Amino acid sequence: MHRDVRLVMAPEAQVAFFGSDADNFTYPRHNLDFTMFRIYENGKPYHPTHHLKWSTEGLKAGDLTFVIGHPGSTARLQTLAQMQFDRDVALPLRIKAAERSRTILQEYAKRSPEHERQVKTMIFGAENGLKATKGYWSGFKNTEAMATIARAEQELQAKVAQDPALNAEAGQSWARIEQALKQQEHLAREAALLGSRGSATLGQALALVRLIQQEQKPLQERLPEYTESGIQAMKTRLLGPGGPREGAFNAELEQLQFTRGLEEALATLGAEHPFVKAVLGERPPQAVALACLAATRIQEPATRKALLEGGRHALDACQDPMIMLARKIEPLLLELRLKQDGIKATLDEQGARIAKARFAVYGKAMYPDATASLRLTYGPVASYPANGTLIQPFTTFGGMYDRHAGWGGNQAKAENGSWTLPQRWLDRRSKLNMDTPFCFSHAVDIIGGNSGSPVVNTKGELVGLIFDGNIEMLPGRYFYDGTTNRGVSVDARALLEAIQKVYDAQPLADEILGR
Amino acid sequence: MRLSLLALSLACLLPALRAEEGMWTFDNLPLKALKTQHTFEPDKAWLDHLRLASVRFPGGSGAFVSASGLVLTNHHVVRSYVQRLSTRDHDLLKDGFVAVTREQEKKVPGLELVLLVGMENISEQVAKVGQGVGTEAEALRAREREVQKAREALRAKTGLTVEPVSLYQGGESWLYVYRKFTDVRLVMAPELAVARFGGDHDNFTYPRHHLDFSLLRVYEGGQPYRPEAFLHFSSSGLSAGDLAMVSGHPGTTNRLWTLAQMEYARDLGTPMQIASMERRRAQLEAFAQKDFDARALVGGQIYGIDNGLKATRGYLAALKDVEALKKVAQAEFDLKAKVARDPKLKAVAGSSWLQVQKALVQSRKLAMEQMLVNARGSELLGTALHLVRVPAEVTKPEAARLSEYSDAALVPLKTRLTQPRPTPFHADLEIHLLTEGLKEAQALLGKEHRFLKAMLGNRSPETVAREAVVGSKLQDPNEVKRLLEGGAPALAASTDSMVVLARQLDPIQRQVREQQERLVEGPLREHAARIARARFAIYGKDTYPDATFTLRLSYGTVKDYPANGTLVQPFTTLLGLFDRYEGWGGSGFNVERDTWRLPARWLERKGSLDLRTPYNFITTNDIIGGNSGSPVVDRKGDLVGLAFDGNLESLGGRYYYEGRTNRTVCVDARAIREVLTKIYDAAPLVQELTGTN
Repeated sequence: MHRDVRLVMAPEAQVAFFGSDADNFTYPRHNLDFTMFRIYENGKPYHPTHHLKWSTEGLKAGDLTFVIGHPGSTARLQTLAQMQFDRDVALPLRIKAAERSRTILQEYAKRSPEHERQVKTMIFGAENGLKATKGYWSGFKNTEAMATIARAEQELQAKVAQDPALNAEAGQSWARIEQALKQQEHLAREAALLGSRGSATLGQALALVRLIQQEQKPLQERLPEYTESGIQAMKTRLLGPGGPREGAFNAELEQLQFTRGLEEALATLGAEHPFVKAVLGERPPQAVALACLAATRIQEPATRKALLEGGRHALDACQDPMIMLARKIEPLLLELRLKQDGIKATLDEQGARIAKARFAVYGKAMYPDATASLRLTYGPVASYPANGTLIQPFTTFGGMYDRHAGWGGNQAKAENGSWTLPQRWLDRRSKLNMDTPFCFSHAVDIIGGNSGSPVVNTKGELVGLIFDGNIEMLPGRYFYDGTTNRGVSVDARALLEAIQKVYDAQPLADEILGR
Repeated sequence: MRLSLLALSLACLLPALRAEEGMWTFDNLPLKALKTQHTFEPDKAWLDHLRLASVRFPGGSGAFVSASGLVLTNHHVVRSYVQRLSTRDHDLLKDGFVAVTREQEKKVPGLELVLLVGMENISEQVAKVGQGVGTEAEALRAREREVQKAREALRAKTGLTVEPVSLYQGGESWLYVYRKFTDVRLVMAPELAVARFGGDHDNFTYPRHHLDFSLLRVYEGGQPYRPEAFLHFSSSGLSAGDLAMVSGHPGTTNRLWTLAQMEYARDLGTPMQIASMERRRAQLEAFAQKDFDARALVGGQIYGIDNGLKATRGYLAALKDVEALKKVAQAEFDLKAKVARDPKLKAVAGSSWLQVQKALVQSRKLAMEQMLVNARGSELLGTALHLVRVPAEVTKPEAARLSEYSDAALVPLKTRLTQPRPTPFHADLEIHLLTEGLKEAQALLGKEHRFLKAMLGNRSPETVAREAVVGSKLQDPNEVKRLLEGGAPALAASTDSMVVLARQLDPIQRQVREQQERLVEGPLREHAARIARARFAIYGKDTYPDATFTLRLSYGTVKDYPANGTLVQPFTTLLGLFDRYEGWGGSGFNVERDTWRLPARWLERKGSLDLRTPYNFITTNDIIGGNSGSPVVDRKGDLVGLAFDGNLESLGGRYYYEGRTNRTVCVDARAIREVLTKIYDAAPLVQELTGTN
């Protein structure tokens, strides 16, 4: 483990994330998404046993590339029923919730330009999340890919059925998973509506109540994350400075979010639902939100500190309206949580049995789902069909300046300035070779977590750096479709050109090139 | 109080037009919307100027851009003419062409432009004739005769070209008066590679990098024509959000179709058309597989079909847009309800939606024959069918003829049939296509169908096709000319094998056409007109008519749109052109089928270009095929660009306008000026365009 890590080079965010959230997950792309650190040991630069040599010749379309990195998580070995659950229940719920919160932010933004300024970043964030979730979901429309998954499952089921030992182990597992998912569906719809309902303050109150109540119990009776070290980490977080969310506490925004959240719960669950009864009683959502937010002091760190230090007694005596509300609904939330944990246990157990059977049948002819551990993937630099045409395998610096000018440049600041460039990049423009390859698309199988993975050629030399995939990569969570799924990398030639001509860091360039 | 009530009721009457929707006729412009949405109030002089500068090309649009008759249009509008001017040694298509002096300009044979100089509304006169006359078909014929009579009268009076124009599905009848120009000379055409950079792949898409323009000059009496109006090249150009006006000739839209017609197209018509194109593509591909020369011969046709398939699939996707069709259904529901409440309108159109549905039931039955009973992809059989029909048709009164043999149509038809072949005749290709075409009909109609019995008898498609092609001389324009000029006796005496086959085809094809006209087209026209009349009575001219390849004005703004996971930039620049060139491997490697290559001149002169020059841009204007070459003007009426295509999302514009994503794609006037000077050494042209000489 290396703990002495020093920043050597980081480009401006504007050029590292050129195109901002709009261009995120897409290609053609123009992001100088790299940074450099140096590792030290005992105050001296560390000498690794291996380092990647920087390629000087660069890539061409069709050239083979290798990516070595840590893909985070995929769900390709889920059963078909689990994928259908994601398709029909889990992702639609997520999309609906994200759309709802975006709508509320937009409603807030319409109040005045100042209101708009306050939430603009949050709206972008919400849209970006939606883009990703919709991207995952779009994979389910690929009927061919889904048919392949179904066939593979049938084949495995048939093989398991033929082998008495495997059959005893996993023969019933698919059916068990299906049953569990049926229960999960009902719970998931309810769980989406129970909770803090858009109030970050209520969220904090709920966290305090649960933490203090769990802490009272013997370890084996607690929820699994409430270990001693888990509790310590939670306390640190809860005692931390700042508001409940990024930036300061925004009472007006929270008032709107909480009101809309309670309205939705009332409209969907009905006035007779125990949760709605507990929160609203007979009062209208707006009045509850207004009363709670006006009187609560939970947003102040001192209040939270006093409660944590006072423990159970302080909590029981607390008259803060948010805490009173949280105490009322915690039993409902806990009950729901325990039911969901039960289902999850079944899914994990049966999933493990199927995995064991698959391994017995296929051995290591298949790769495991992503687990944030080191993996290798390979594929050529390749175009793909999209937007009615074929997409160019490389972009160039010229393309970045084209997009910059095409959006009206720094003067226009179009779309929150998404395609503006740092002044240095405008000043040095004429020094740069516009034809320098900047980013490229290649048919490699990557996923979130691969960000920053080195891309090497057949000689093992560094030719680029993975930083994203195209929008068609997102269904890669469920399956790999080589016709359109592409990794997006920044080209090593662009890094070198920028280091030398924009950042005046010739010594770094010399080090990279081994000169 | 009275006033506000009136305003309220008017608001309820208006159909739900979306901002910037519409291809408006110059007699009925959306001036109120322009004023309220864009605080733009063009006066009569502004509008007359734009109208009188706008010309129509065969299949496209254009505009006068100098006092000396210079006309600007798309390269793709005049591409076939540039091809015709090319020789083996001087390939103007590949190498481009620049005439810096008048003497170098090349007369384009066969190219005629028209300029709209008058519009006469004859709706009342025509509507009177239709009333109380026998069957629907008879009423229709009577009205057609009335239009022809009025047209003749106006033609005699003006001495100009007069075309009947039916607007609002027959709700209005107009006569448009055109001045025609027949001496048109090529002045400038860029190289094909840059005019259609990205080829068929990039067609109908954006971001785009096409230098899709060409310059021609109109002459009269051997002198450059002095147009009454011409557009000045803007010295500034547009920015994102700016208002853009497009004046041109949108070809065809089907926006006033009933929901049933759209559903028919979605479920049967368009899928059938796609399947037919795919079969045709497969037939050509099978031929191309033979050898290199074969592929060279039909490669262009295959690309053409691919492009047509891309468009047609785009149409189908638009028809499958559930949300959009819901809006169409809602609009229809509203109109029906209004018609039902008014006894007079109910009498006119109350049952028309049902009648349209009935006609579509017939159409469904006839669709296969309608698609397959024809010359089956054989050029010679098509020619022979005309030869068989011309003598028979010309003896009839004009009103009783098949439409393609009207007096106005006959002259161009004869010219076309007898002109020298643009490419050499290939008997093997002709045999292959006729064979496959007959096989296709056999497979889909069945061997027992009267068409196949008549065409084949007991013989195989191969035998019939081979004998017909080998035994025919119709590939020779002189032979066609001899038969055309010889009239009925020459034809009766002809034993040309294609003529013999055409005699078999003629009666059956006439019968299919007659059925289609009587059971499908006639009722559809009639009831579309009735619905249009009712719509017209309710909404008046608050709506715009479907496109009819006549002059229209559209307004919009320069605007990005969401696609491909992001927002798409409103402008591209010359930087983007070279980016795409390099991104596909530049001059070195793996450039997809020559699609993203650049001419040598462009690579040599790259350093002299200001690469940040805006190149192509997109607007929300509502246009469609036929608008190609339309001038784009700013508030001053100055030329800022040239419309040349739409994005993929604009294809749905055939059925409805969706302003969120539908975009017009234009070449920026600034790029035209930049390259004329720096790449084509045509500074005199720039001076003429900018009025600095």
